[in-house]
Amino acid sequence: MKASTLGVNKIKKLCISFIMAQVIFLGPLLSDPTYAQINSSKRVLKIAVFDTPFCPKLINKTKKNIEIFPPSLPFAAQRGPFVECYEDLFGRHGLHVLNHLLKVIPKLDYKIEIHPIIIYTRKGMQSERSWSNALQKAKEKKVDLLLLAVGLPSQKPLKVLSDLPFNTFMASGQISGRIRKSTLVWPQSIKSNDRSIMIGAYLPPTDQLPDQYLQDKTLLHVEKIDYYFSGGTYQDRLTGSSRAVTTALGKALLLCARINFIDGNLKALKKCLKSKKRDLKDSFSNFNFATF
Amino acid sequence: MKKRPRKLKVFAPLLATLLFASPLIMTPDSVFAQQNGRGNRGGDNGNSTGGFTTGPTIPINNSKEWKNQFVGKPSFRLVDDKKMKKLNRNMDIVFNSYDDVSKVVKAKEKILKNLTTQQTKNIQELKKLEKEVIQAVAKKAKLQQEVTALTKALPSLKQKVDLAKAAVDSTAAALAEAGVKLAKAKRRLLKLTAQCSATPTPACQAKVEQAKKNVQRLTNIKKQKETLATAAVTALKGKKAALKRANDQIIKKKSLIFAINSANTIRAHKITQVKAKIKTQKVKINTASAQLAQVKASQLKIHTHLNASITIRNQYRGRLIKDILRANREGEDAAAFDGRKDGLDLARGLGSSYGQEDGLRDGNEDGVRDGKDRDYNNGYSEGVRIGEQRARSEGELDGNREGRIAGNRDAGAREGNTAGINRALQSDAAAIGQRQGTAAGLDRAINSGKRDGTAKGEAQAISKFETRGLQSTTIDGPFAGTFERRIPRMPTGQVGPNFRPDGGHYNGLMYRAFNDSYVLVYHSQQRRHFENSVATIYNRAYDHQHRAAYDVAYRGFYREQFDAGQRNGDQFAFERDYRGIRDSFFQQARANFSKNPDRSGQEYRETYARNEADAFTIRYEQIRRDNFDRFEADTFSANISSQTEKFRLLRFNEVTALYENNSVLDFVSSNMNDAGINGVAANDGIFQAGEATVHDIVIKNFGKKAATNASVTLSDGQKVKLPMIQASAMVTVKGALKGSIANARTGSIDTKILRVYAPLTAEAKIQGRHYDNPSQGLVNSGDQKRVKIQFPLALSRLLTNGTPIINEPIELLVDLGNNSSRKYKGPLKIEVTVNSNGSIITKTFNDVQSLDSTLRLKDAQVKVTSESDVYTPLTFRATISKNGVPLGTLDQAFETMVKAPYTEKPGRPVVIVNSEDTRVELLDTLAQLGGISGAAVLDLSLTGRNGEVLKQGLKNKTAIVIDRGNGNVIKNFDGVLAKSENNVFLFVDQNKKGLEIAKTTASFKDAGSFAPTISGLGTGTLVFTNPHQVKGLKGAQFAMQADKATMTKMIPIAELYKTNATQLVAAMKSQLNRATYFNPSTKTKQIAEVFSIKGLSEVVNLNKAYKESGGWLGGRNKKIAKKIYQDKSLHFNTLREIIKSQRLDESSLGLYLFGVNADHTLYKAATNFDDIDDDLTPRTSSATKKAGSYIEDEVKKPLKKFDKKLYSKIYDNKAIYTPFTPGTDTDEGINSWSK
Repeated sequence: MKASTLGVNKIKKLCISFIMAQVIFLGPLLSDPTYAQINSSKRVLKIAVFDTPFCPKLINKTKKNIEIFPPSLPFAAQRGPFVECYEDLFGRHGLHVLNHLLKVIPKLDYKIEIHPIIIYTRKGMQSERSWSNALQKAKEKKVDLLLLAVGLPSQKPLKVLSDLPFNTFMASGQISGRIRKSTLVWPQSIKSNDRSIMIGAYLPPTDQLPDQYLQDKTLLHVEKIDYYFSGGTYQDRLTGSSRAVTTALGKALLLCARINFIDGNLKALKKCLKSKKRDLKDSFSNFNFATF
Repeated sequence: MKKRPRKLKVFAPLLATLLFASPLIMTPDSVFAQQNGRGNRGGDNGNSTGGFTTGPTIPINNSKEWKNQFVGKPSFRLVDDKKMKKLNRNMDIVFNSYDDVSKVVKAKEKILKNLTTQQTKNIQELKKLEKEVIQAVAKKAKLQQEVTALTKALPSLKQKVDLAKAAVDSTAAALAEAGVKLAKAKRRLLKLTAQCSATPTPACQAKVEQAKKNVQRLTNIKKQKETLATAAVTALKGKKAALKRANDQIIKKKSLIFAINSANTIRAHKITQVKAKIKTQKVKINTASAQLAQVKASQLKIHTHLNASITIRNQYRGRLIKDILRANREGEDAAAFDGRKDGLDLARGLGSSYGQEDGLRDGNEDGVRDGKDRDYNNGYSEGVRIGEQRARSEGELDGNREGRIAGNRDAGAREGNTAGINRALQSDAAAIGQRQGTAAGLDRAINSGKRDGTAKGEAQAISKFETRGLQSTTIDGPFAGTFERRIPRMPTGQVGPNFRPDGGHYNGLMYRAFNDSYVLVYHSQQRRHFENSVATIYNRAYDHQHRAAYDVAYRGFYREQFDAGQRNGDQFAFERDYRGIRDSFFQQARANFSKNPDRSGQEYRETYARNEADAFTIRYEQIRRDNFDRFEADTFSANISSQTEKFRLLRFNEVTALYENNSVLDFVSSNMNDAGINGVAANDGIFQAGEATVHDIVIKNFGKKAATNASVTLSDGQKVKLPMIQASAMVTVKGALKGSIANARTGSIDTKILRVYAPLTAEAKIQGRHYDNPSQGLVNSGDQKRVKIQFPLALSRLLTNGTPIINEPIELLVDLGNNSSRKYKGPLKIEVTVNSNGSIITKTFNDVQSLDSTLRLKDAQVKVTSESDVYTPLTFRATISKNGVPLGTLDQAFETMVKAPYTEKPGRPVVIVNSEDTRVELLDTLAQLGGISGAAVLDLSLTGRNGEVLKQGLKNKTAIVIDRGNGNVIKNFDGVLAKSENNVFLFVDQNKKGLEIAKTTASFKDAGSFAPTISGLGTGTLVFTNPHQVKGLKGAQFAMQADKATMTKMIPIAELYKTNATQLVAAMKSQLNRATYFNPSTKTKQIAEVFSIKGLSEVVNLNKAYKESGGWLGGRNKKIAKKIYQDKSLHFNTLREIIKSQRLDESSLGLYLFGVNADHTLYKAATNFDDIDDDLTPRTSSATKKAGSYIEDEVKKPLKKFDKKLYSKIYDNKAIYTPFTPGTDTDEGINSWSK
């Protein structure tokens, strides 16, 4: 073979290697939606919170760039969506979730709207209908994300509700009262990995045991839990997986501030969270809690 | 080139790093004493000093590996163990000694080495010289031989020279001759040549040629002669040279021989000198060797001692660690058991409580619901059974009866029908039908119009005034599905009844080791078992309670549901079955009788008649109907619209008229406002206990007439008629009703239920459509208001502006806050109370005229003048009111304490404290001492006011030093202590750290300590300052560790420590006698024991001073040691002198007897009481025994002579007042007084 042909072949090989290197190393980066979206991020992030009625006077002060909208009550069965504040002496679950969310949510360089949507009556009743109306309301508001520190328990599969067409941070739920491991809780029981991140709670260290983490054995849907956060102490108002999921959302926004929550696609966020993932361990067993 | 294996490329650098780095990786724990520079020999004692040159062969074990097995974090160091510390110190001392002696050995070795090296050089030099001498002698001999040989050869050489000369002469002559001949030949040649050139003939030429040849021949001969002559000259030269050489050689060699001789002479002298040096050096070497051997022997001895020290220390350390780990494990095991138990108990408690609460609530709910369902179903089943039965019996009966009748009737009908039809066909049915159809069509139009129009009109009329809402549905209980954790969490920091961290039977470090693991493992296990079991317990309690509540609720009989179920079941079953049964029987009977009717029967006849009539009628009717329908439909269609509109309008007008002429009420809401108490605190949004309430009501009146008959009731029984409710309005009736808040405690909830009544005056369906109970005239079911009972104003942060000092006025401050929704106008009066003995509030707060949100008041004043109010807890409380109506109270009482400068109180202990740091402890201590009158307080936080006493120091005081355990007081007091004299210090703190901290201060430098036993108190460490070692200290001052429990017991002992030797001896003399000596009271024993303890403390201090006065190898001041038995101011020597000065009789017998014990005490202290004897040097040990024996010398013989029996008895009970048990090594920690 001629020397010139050999030389040309060498150059060809070099070019091919160079191109492959670019593809291998830069390709994922270029196709990464995170990267693709940074330059065209949305200006407003809308988060819907499904929960109980509450007294609006008891909501804490918000940070700049964060706005809490008046709560929506999709079915007008009650006289107004608010609990009379003198009834709400110790605060309902919905109030605690909102106040905790305000505490953990970071101040970012884009606006965050929080839309409370009530799914319970003032007497504490919920139904498939109240949920489906709430989902409809969320759709009308075009929310980007749902925060569910709640679920709909039932003994049998539901008739009306099927899939959950939103990106969701959902609490795994706990045993309490009538709710046991065998109780069906919607939407936790139909959690899909594409659109949902399920958060469970762990028992955090204490002053006397600063290194001890414990598994919370009252959690439901353990096999579906993606990450764990602290379930708070006995002195906290908001505890359990409700607290954990609210904290998780705040932390996710802080760590992955540049991720854009594209409709129907939580991939970018999940990828970002995976890169921040770290493990904690139950002090007595081999059970690991993934957190971020 | 071979390629290196890939793996090697990767691992080779790693291996290289490991190889080179491994020597650098040293185990830090195990240290051999072969370091350069400073090293930590004693491990974690902090007492190690300096580096050393060579070391022991036994490694010092400072391994910290035991901490890996230790559960929890050790709260102590091994050196906190007194014996460990002591062994480390001993080891260090021996190390230092070994160091010193090793240095000496090294120095000596160096000297010896130098000497030896020098000696070697000397010897080498000697040998060299001797060798040189020998060589020189040999050389000289050789030279001499050569000279002799040369001298012998001289004559022959001379002869040769002569011969050579002759040869030269001869050859020279020959040469000259040859030259002459040659010259002649040449002349001849020339001549011939000249001749031939003139006449060149052959003969001439032949002559010429011949002449030339001759010349040539002679030339050659001359050359030969020249050569010979030259050779002869050369030979002569050579011979002369040889002769000269020989002569020169002889001269040279002779001079060499001379030089050798001279050199050897010098060498011989040098050799003599060097030999002398060698001899001297040998002596030095011997001396140095001897010295070195001696020092090495000492070194060996110390080395052995060092190894032994280290071994003992290591062994003890090992044992100590073993004990610690054992105690730690025991703590862990105990904690695991206790923690588990308490965790489970707590889980049971909380889990059960919450589970029961939730179970009860849910169980009751579910039970009622299911009970109702069950009773309904039961009722339903029962109803079904009844219905079925009824259907069966009635069906058959009715079926047969009716079948018979029907059959007869069928026949009658059939036959009658035929007849009737025929008749009808011939009648006026068509004409009638037409007429009637027209009328009916009109009627229907009217009726339909009425129905539809009415409903429409009604709805329109209503919707004109109102709107309606939707219903909601539920699935489960209230707020089910919210995911906060309901199952109780473990309350942190809580400990249960089995929490017992005090280390059981352990003392000292084991106690702490036990505790360290106990606390950690307890909490860990408690939490673990709690969390593992609480859910199960909760669920179990929940299920159990749920079951129980459910059973109770379920067991109930729900009459209403049962009846409803029964009704429905009956109806359902009857309706389901009756028809079929009845039809079956009916069909059968019917067929029979239809075939064979009973024509005489009534039904037949009636049926026939009827059917005939009916058939007639029917056919008639049919004809009529057809005509009727046709005409009816036509007429209806023509009239329906007008009729509907007519009735719509009618109903619309009716309902409108009802609205126009009546009130139609709908309750919207009510509001409860606070109306104040006696006109005060109204409308501030706060509901106080006993405060009047005013209730506003919002009612809609859809009607156009005002409602004048409405009234309102409150759940407390009040009923008030409402004013007129305006028509077509949503009316807010302000102040519709007045009530009052219950006189309950602040923070509790008061509930009011408001109901509105208005009897109906018109159609209930319309007027009462919004009522909760139209028949009762109840408009709303009951509007509930729950309020928290509070005060509108709040007082907080009541405090003084600085620290209150006696006799100094100080501002009193308070924050006033407004929790209500409005500004408050005054005068608002603030009243402050305090639990002082005297009146201390010299000025109260001025009234506040106006309050918006918050206000800080500073105008009150407090001044304490009575001592009874200082250093005692004062609690201030405050309330605020207006016109006698309380509006608020202080959220938290203000507790303070008034301080006072130090005042001298003779006979009372002095409490030394920093009241800023340890206020609570101070108050507790004063309480124990009987209040402020029972003690003087030296408060270090009042440095300005207490400046004088801090400058002068304390004298003859029992000082109770209160420190928190962080040294704040103790370290700050050190300067004062240095100026103080003859005081006893009790360090009081619960953590028992005070004395340890004090020992780190300057005044306690080289302080002595040992752990004596005192009757009635026990064994505990006593520490005393060393005036020999601390410049400026005026005498030893004693210190002990105490806590709350032991403090009061120790004060009397402290008093004894302040007493001087003479006084103590006098006290003993008065209390010890024949009767009491062997059976003393505790007080007497204490006097004697304290005397001995004080005496021993003097020995310990002098021992220390002696040791520090010089080094181990010498240089110590013996005079110091001798003081032990010479210094008459010392206790035991004072005793000796007093005994010496007093004759033995009954009055002085006690002293003499005590003298025997004193000797015993001193002897045993020097030999068999490790706390003291371990530290004594041989000299001070001997001096101590001497001090004792000097006393014995004064008492032994007199006693034997005085009373032999007593003498024997005293020697059998020598140890009676000795304040320690000989042979014991008190391993106790500093805190023994407390045990």
